[in-house]
Amino acid sequence: MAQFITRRILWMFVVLIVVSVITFFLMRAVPGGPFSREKPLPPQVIENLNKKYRLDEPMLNQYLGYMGDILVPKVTTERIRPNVLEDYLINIPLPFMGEETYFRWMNFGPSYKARSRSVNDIFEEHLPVSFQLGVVALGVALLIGIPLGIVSALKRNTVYDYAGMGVAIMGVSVPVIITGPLLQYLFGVQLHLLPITGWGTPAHAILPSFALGFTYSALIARLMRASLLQVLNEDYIRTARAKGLSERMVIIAHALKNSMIPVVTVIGPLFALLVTGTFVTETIFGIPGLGRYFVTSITGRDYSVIMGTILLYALVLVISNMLVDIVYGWLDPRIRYT
Amino acid sequence: MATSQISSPNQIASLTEETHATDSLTRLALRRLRRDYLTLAAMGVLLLLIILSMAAPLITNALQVSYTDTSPTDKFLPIGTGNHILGTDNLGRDLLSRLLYGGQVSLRIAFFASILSTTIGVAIGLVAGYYQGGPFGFIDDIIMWFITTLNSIPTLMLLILIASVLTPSVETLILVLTILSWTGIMRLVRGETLANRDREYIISAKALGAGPIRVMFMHILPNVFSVLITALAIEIGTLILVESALSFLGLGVRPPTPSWGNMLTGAQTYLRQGAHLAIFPGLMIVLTVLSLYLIGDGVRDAFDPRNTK
Repeated sequence: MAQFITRRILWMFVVLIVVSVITFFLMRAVPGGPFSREKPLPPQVIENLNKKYRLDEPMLNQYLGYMGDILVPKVTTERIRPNVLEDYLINIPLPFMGEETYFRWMNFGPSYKARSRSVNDIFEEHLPVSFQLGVVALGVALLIGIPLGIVSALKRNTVYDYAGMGVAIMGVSVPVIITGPLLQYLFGVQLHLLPITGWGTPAHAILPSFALGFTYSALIARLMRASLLQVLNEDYIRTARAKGLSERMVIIAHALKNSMIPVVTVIGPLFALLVTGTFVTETIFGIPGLGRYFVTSITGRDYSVIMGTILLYALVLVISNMLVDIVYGWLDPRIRYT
Repeated sequence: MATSQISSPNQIASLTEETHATDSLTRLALRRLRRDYLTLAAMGVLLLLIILSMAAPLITNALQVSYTDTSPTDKFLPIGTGNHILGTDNLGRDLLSRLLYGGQVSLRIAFFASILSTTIGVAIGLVAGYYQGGPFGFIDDIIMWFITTLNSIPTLMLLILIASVLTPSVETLILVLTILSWTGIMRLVRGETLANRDREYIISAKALGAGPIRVMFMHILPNVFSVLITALAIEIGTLILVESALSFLGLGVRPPTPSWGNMLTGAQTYLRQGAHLAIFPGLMIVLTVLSLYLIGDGVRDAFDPRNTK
């Protein structure tokens, strides 16, 4: 197990390096830069800006410098004031090294657009919003999806099954750009029950997390149904029934746990996707999350924010996939890691 | 050595019988499909949408309307005004003809991108699955390594990034969606190939002297065909949704070229003046995607050997 985790962590670094290389050079290939304006800035200003942000150096140096800032940790006694060029995501005090010694790691650099802020500042402001929305939406998806799937499977080919799967297939095929405005119109404009856009109170979270969660609940319901149906055909279920267990016990103790495996598989990437921001939902509901900020930063060619967000997403994705693999082993002891 | 495995005519007979058995499985599936009215209805709806979209020039000519002509006096005409069967949009353009031409664009993007990505996915999946673990196993290792890395990259983020690099046109969107969507089908085909390659019929084919290419494309491919049709139908549906999401973020097909995605997005500003401008493109997207998903499910169930209906 330890060996498995070590290997996955090493693998994680490889993936992150590849992701960073692709994003970095792809971004530089985009026409326009962070300082292009409708009305061009004076050449001297652009030159100074480029110098400040190291954009005048050769491409490879820029890349190595950027990655160096993120990857190389720094142990320092200097008290770093909030400084856009040196803002570290991880600041751990090391008291045994003497007064005010800090272990600082992951400097994602300054934002090129919002020039008084660092990328870490932007993460701090927008990531919690996306995280909250994502977690609630994932909760909605699981709370609707899993029971719907279970009922459909247990009452196979009855009216419950058809109704459940009908809801599920609608959920998959109606995109958020339709359900979002529809919910806004119904609950906001007509019934005046819930706020249409914005963020801050729990009431603000209801519509977006439902719109977002519903789509994925449909996916989970379909997976859950198919998986449970398959498990119910297995020999060990017949054995459990044969030894006189009640149907309820057969389902709860034997069938459900194993049929969760496909659901757990999708939760990994789903979690990463939902938590790091969902561009469309955040845009529709005017939520100041990381997803919406990411789209703006792409149009504004804010190189460091784009890089930072993509790396962050990849990190969350790789870690959650690793956790999924660990949960597998618990759900199905037949799966062994070598 | 290879030929000695089929020494008696009996074995040859049993081989032909097996081919016969596969044939009747297909026939059985088709018979099941013919009784599956939901799937048939979905096929009908999809076919109708495709025919209407393809016939867009004929229909607009017959109605003497145009999908490009703007008219400042005819803005937001309601449904059924004169020749404008579905009314007009915020620039006075005929909504029906824009829907039909937009359908051409949306369907073309989704169909071509999914057919291209399926072709790539099938070819690579067959090769990777066929050689997995053997002396050429490194091919599979390299491909799987590449895929795992590619899948750790946030697809939608990359899509947004690429869409902003290349000025979005129908062709570049097809390209981008293809690049990012072939891995799912590849994994599927690889898995099916792995499950099939050690079956008796493949061993017999090899014994009869069939080379790797022949085994892959003439023997394994037909046996994963039903899985492939299902995946293709779902893929097309998903790509229509992706195209509309990209349009929503302003990174899809650029107006004035209509696509269902950008029509829906554009109409959301004018919900008060003309809700029908949003309803119809939305309805088209939902109908198409729903039909495709239903077809995917129906085909899968029909070819499922455990299906007893």
